[in-house]
Amino acid sequence: MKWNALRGFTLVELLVVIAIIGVLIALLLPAVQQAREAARRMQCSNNLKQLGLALHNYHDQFLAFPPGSVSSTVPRNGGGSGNSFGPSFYGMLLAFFEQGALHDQMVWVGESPGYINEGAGSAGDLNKVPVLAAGPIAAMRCTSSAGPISNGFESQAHYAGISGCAEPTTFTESRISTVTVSSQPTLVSGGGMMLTNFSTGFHSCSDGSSNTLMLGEMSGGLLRTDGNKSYPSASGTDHGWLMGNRVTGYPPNLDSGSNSSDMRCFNTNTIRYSPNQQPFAYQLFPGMASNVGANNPLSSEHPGGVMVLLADGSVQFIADTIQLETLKQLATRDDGQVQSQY
Amino acid sequence: MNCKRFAILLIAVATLGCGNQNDIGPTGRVNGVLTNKGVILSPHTQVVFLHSQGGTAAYGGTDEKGNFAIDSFNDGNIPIGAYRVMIQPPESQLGAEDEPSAEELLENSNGRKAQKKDAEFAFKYRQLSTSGLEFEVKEGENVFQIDLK
Repeated sequence: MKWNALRGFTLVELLVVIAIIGVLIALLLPAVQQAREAARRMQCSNNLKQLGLALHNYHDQFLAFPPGSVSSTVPRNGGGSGNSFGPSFYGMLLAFFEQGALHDQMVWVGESPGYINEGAGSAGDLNKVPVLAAGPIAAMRCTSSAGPISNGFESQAHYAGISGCAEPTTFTESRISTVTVSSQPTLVSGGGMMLTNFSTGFHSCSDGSSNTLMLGEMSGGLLRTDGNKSYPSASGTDHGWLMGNRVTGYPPNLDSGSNSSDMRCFNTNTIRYSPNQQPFAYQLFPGMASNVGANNPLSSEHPGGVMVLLADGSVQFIADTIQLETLKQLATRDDGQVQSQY
Repeated sequence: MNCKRFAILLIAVATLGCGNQNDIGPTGRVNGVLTNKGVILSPHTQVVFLHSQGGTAAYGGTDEKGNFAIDSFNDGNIPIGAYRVMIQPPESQLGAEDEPSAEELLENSNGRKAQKKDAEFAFKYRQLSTSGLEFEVKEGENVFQIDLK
C-alpha cells in the first residue's frame, strides 16, 4: 500500500499525457483560428453595415448619396495647375458615422482639402493635424487586413466606392473615361453608384437597390510578379481615406484641365477583374497600379472572397469564383440585368 | 479478415472528397504563335486570356520565335469557353510603375503622357474591349495563330 502511494508517475506516463494534450491542442488550434477569422469577418461586415447606414442617413439629409470623390475648384499652388484635391466620400460622410468631431475640426473649402501634404496655409495643410491625430478610423478598416495602416499620409480605407464596371461582355458600358496610370490605360466608369464628381440617389438605381453595389472591400494582399505582396487599398498603396480627385466632370467626361494630367480618382473603384485576382501587375492587366489604378481588383484576407455593401444597405460576401460578368452587372446601376443568384 | 476489410472501407470513406480538387470543369490548353503583320514581336510580349463570362485570367509570354503558351493558371489547364485576349508589351517597353506623387505632378504637371507610340503593335490590342481578339477554348489542346493588324 505504502509503495503505491509513493509511486508517482513514470517518465513514460508523463510523456504520454503530454503527447495526448499536444494532439488535442493541435486539433483545437485551427478551430480557434477559424473562429477568430469568422469574428473578424463579422466585424468587417459590421463596418460596411455602418457605412451603409451612414450613406442612407446622408441620402435622407441631402436626397442624394455623396459622390465617390470630389475636387476643389481652388487651383493648386495659387493657380495655373488645374483643380486641387477635394475629399473622398468618407470626408463627406464623417458626421454620419460618429466622426462629427473630426468633421468640425476640418476645413472643407480652399486649396486641396483632401490632400494633407499640400503647401503651407492650404486647406489640406490645416486638415493635416486633426486628420493625423484621429489615426486609423475603425469603421473604414477591415480587421483581417495584414496591410499597412498608412504610407506617409493619412490612414488607408479598405472600402472603395464602386463606380461601375469596365469592359463587360453581356451589355455595353459607354460611360468610360480612360485615365493613364503607369503608361497603361485604366478605365473609370460612370455606371455605378459612387462616381467621381457626381451624386447618385435611389432614383438613379433602376436595377433596384438590392441589386447594385455601393462599396467593395479592398484590404487584402495581392502577389506581384516578383513574388512580393502589394496591399492596394481603396486609395492605392500611398494615399489615404481623405484623398479625392482633382478633375472636373464625371465619366465619360472627366477632364484634368489643360495644365494638369492628373486624373487619378482615389477611394473609388471600377470593376474590371475578378476579386483577389493575381498577380497584381500593371504589365499584364492594364488598370491595376499602386498609385492608383482605377481597376485594382477587390481584395481581402477573408478566405475565398470579399465583403461588399449593396445600395439597400445589405452586406454580402462575394466569392472569388463569382462569374465576373455577374459582378459587373451588380456594379452597374442600370444595366437592366438583375442578378439575384450569386 | 472482416476486420481488415472494415478498416479498408473505413479509410476509403474517410478520404472521400480528398484529392482531386479540380472543380472548374473541363479544361483546355492553349499555345500558338503571335505575330504583328507577319513579323515576330520582341520576346516576353505577354498574351493575356480572360474568360468572357467567368473572368478567369491566364497569360503567357512569347519566345524569340513568337511562340507562346498560356501556362500561368492551373498548370496551363484553363476552363473551356469563350475568351477575350489582349496583348501587352514586354515589361522593358513599359514605363516603370512610378506613378506620379501629388507633389511630382505639381512640379511637372504636363510631364507624363501616355506612351502609346512606343509599343510595337497597335494600342487597341492592349485592352480587351478594343482588341477584337476572341477565341473559343475547347477541351484538350488549342493552337491559335494570332496575327495583329
